[in-house]
Amino acid sequence: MSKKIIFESSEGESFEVDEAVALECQTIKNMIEDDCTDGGIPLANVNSATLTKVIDYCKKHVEAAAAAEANAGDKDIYGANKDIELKTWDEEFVKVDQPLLFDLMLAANFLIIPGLLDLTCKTMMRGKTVLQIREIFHIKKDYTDAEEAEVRKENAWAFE
Amino acid sequence: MMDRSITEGVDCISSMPDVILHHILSFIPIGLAIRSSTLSKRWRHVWCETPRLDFRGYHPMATARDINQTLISYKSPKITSFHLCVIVWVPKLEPQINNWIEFAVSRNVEQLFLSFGCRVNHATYRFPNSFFNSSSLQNLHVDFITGIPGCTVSWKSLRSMTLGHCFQSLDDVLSGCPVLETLTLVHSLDLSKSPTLTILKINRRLYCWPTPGSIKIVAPHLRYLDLLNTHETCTLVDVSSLTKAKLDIRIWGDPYRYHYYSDDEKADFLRLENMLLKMLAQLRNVELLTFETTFLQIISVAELRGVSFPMLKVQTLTLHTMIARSVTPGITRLLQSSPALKKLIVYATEPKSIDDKDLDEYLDSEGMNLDQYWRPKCDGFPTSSNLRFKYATWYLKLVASFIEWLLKNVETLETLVVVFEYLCCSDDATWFEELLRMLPTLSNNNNVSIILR
Repeated sequence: MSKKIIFESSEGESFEVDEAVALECQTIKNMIEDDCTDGGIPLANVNSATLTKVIDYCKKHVEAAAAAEANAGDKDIYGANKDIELKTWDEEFVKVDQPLLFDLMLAANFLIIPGLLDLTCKTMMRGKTVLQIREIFHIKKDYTDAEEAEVRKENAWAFE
Repeated sequence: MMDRSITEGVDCISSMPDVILHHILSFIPIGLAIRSSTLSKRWRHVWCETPRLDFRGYHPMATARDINQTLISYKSPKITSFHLCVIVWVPKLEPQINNWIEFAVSRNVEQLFLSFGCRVNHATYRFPNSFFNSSSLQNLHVDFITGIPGCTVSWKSLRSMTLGHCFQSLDDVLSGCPVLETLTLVHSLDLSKSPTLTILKINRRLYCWPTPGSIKIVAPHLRYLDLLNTHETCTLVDVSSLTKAKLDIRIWGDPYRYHYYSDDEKADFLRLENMLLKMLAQLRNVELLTFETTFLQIISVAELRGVSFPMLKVQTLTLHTMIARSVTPGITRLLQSSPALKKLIVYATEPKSIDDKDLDEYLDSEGMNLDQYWRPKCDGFPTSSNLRFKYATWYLKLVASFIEWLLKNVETLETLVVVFEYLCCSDDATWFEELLRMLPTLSNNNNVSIILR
């Protein structure tokens, strides 16, 4: 039996996970190394819905890493894993509504899960115009026309 | 946490902490990141601290002056990744490059990519001394010709380095890189004094200028070799610690057109065969081998000619290949020369190497009767120009007969993995299911487990 770690969400709900899964979070890893995880880890700023997703992500990546280890020959010469299935899974994983996506970012940042932080951040702005970004994220312009002109002037080349 | 009841139309992103916004902006070229400053006052200076500066991208495209202007506004004390690129010709580019490199080093750059190609005058260009003394640098990529450093090199954290046409001797550089693991070069030098260097990647087609002819690889400590060779000679002198190797060869043009080439180049084919067989002999103790189509085609010709092959200790063999007539004799020979083979991974690719017709023309010119040579060894596989990928059923039958054919040629194999990199059928899913249904029949009477991806 592998060791279990207990997380407690902001609503006070308990989540039991394998230690290997918890170790995906650098923050938790440090706590485990310092031996201060007994009696559960309260995560006052991560709600249950987000925590469920975070645990899903870590579980999946632990499993994928184990499977990749078993199929070491499938890796390319640099040890990188061409895991198309995992990539597809990741893409599906981030198809969630905006509030949850931002909650995931905050959780990934707080728990230090670099893969999850990259996954949630990388497609936010890629391939979008400023106008589209403004619409998608409901960002209100609070510049006067003169102020905006000033902003553009500073690095004019980027607006050409 | 955000209150879900009032999220409709609410600007969540602007209330994210700066560190997350910096991260979000780090995934887009800097020109686009700068544009975010017009979103709102909240966004005014966010881009100035994104840890990755990437000047690539065709629109908007930065000139040297634009880069300078941007760096004045840029405030991050730490640059994780800095990708510098100037597409247009700039008079006196060298002093600018030096300023940028000094800027990067002063901000503890970790990944530095310098893409200036032929716009650098390599006869006179010298890197600034500070460049050679960066303790933060982990990954360096330089795509222009560089000279000998004028000072001692100290890259304590450098793990990966890609060089265009490089320093005449790498010894001085390598001795200053105690943890270097991966080296990518256009050509190779003696690496016997670099015990930490485990991965060597040589891509002789990486840059536009001519390569220096023949190369020799002396790398007794090397674990992984990834070699993309051209028609020019490459000799593996000492690669005795290798455990993984990937060999790829691209000759002359791509695709190769036999009749475009001079008699000298045509006669070169025999030299190529010899070169590849010698390489194979040096790889006889390697457990993981990867080959691509052109390599297999040349090996096929050698097999048709009846040349003797080295025996291999390979356990996992990966082939990136089209399923066509011209690779099958070579694959047969490889399998027969690999008595320890446990796992075979085949990536079924599109045809992008030598056209089978050109190979025919070559064999014909060598006085080898095509029917007599190909027919008994290729078991009816189509030529590369007759591959009909768009017809799902046709391709399905081909893959199935290929799997069947492979299984006939293996004795010790435990696992066969077939990966489809090239699928353009409209009904991919049903096609795939059909193939899966056929597998039990295929794997009957042997103990090989077949995996399709």
